[in-house]
Amino acid sequence: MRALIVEDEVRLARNLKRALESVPTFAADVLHDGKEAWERLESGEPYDLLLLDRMLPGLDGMEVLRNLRESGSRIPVLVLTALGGTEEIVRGLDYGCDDYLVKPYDTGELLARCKALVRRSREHPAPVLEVGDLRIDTRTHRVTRGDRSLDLPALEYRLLEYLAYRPGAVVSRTELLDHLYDYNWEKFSNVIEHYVYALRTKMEAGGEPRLLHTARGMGYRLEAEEKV
Amino acid sequence: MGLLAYLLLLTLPVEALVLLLFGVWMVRAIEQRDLDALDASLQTQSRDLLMDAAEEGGRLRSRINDRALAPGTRACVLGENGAVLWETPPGWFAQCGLEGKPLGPVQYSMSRRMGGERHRVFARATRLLREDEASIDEPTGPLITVVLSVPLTDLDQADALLRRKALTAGAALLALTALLLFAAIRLGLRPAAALVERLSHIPGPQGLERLDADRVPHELLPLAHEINGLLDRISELMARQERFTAEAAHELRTPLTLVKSTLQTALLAGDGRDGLEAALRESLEDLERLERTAESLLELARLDTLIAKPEPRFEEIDLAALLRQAAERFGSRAEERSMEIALALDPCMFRGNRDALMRLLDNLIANALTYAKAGGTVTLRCGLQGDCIEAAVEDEGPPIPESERERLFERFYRGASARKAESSGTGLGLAIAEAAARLHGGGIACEPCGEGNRFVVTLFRR
Repeated sequence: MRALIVEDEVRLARNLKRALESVPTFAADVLHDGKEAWERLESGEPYDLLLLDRMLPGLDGMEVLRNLRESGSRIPVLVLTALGGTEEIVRGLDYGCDDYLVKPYDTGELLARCKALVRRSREHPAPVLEVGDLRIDTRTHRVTRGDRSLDLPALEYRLLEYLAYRPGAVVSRTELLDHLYDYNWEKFSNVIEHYVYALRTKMEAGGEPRLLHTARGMGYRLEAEEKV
Repeated sequence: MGLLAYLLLLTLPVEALVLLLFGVWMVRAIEQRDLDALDASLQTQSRDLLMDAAEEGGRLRSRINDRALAPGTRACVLGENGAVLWETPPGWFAQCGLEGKPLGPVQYSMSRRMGGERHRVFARATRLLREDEASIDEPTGPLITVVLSVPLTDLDQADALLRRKALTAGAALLALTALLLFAAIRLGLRPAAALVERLSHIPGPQGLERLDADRVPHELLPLAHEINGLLDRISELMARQERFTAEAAHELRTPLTLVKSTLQTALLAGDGRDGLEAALRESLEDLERLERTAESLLELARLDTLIAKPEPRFEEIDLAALLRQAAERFGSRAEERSMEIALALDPCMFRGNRDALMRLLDNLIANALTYAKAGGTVTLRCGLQGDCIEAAVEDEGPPIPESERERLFERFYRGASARKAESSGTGLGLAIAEAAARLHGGGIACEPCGEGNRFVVTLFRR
């Protein structure tokens, strides 16, 4: 999942990025200016989550949010702000944000809310994803196949989790590249093949049937097939 | 005492007196008119009786014919010596107490109580005119007196009825007046009551609805205007307070958030010893910034309290000495940026609050040393200007843009150069300076000065 953090306080933005990326689910981009953020979002950059400060230079956070919702985007948005009055929170929610967190926030709570927002936007509110005998616990980031625990580095986990939210659907390589890496990453499409290969090796190490399939020329899908 | 009581007390006695006088005058006038009519009729009857009594040639008849009189009327005719020549009913004149010898020609009427009844008595004494009389004006014939008496029972009854009716009407009029006054007050004060009702229902900051001047009676217009003005001022104060609260929340929460997130992230990311140390060092800096902001806010609150006091405790202060000391304190900071502090000080004795003035000057000098270009000169001036004392801090630029000058003294406002400098400023320094100047009944302004800026503080001498 790819998140965009818009926060003008440089060090706070850096902390947010570090905290978010301590969860293998997320790759995060950081912007410090409201106008830049809206330009980035307007260009159609595919984000799965937006963390938005309210008071921003360039364009106010609430304006960014309004523009975003008027453009029809359904990205889950978490507004972070020092304005903690009930009225302010109601106004923020009325502008179309999905959640509202008042500074100083607790990092653990922030991460839990981010994960919950992603689950909800993927229409999968349960914290455990299951495909066949594959279980992904999004709380602890533990992955098991049957009784066997899989030890996955962050990017492999991110890829598997992304596919597991939509079992059976074919996901293109480009989409995977867009959603797994942050803005500054050099995007070579064969890295995906590399991770798919590594994942398959680990998932099938006990002789289990294949779950991660290649749709030739189209992409990948994660599905438990009931065939020989 | 209420308005109604006042009005009733003022109105009712006057009205009662006027009504009483008018009633008495009216009853008297009616009575008099009736008596006049009665007298006229008695006079006619007396003339008839005289005609009966007089004989041709100016002599009295020896016998007077009986004649019919108005019912209840008693009459008698007296001769020259007061002897009763004729009377009806017989013997009444002797009992009525009017006996006496008439002295000459006379005519009068009077009301008189006789036998428990009031009577109208009409008497007329006339000398008869002899045949050979030389002048009609001075008859010399025998004196003849006619006395008529009519009971006033009917008239008195009518009068009593009239008095009762007048009293009832007067009382009714007084009651009506009281009722009308009550109604007028209720009606007249209804807008005031509505005003009170509206005022009592003014809700929170958003609902400061102004009173509609069209719906207020003109007597209450000044009150409504004053209330509206007051509401305007309250709204403005509340808006300012709201802005300030939001800014303060932001300024206090940002470093708090930074500390919390830095420490939590460092723990979460499992940073090594170096990472943790860096996080601690950053957090300490943030805490210091937080401390400065909190201190400045307290300082402002203290000044606000002092300003609100009617008689702040002031002491005698030598402003020139204060500036000289400040220049010494800032000497090393000036050297850091190769700047110089120049002094142009006239002696200025002044009553004021030493701490507040020191903070004011420190903040202005610190700003000049931080934001003016390195290697320049900062000039401190003070001197008398009429009734005021002026102190100024001048730098050599870069100049503050005109658009920023007005807002410089707002709480938490930071000019572009202050924001760019990533400085440790709290955004409250000039607000504190402004409050300190206000404490001394003065003000502070920023104006261009050559290539640079001049911050002028005006203080009123007490």
